[in-house]
Amino acid sequence: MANVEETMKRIESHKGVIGTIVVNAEDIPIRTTLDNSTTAKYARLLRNFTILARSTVRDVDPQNDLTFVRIRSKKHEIMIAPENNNLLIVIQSPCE
Amino acid sequence: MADVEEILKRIQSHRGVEGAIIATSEGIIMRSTLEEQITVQYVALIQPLLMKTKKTLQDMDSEDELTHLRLRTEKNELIIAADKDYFMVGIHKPSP
Repeated sequence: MANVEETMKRIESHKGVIGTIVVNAEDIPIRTTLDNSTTAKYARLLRNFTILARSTVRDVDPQNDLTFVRIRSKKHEIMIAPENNNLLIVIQSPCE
Repeated sequence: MADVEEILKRIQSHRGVEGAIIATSEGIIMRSTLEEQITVQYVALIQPLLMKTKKTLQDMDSEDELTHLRLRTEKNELIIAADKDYFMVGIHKPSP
């Protein structure tokens, strides 16, 4: 478990990282560095998005699966790592 | 239009690139380096995903705008560049 803590701390303290959220298989955020309402909103939106992204990948090739997502926008970069129905979400401000 | 051809050629000749598709936001195929059937399948699946991504981003931050989306899968990577009127899909096999 110590490894997990260390890894999370390393990600959270990375330059530009605005927030991290870990959502479990029941859609409950089990760890977050953002406020509760933002966390709940982001977790819900990104969970729905990830479900669609994953089924898009599998519709093209049923033997394939989603391993990582990066949503790059003008203001942010949102990275989503799905694993066993859990989600690790990291929101970063891109470095100039 | 010659520019578009050149850009497509350059992308296609890049090591690891399996294909490149350009389509309008409505899903009309403009150009593709892949055969028709697979192109139609990709566009039909990615177009709604792109709409969803844009909406998700809007819900998270109404002032933000999608620039691109990267879906990493077990077998390859899809890079989707989004514009107001068009989108482009690059499919490549990332180096091991």
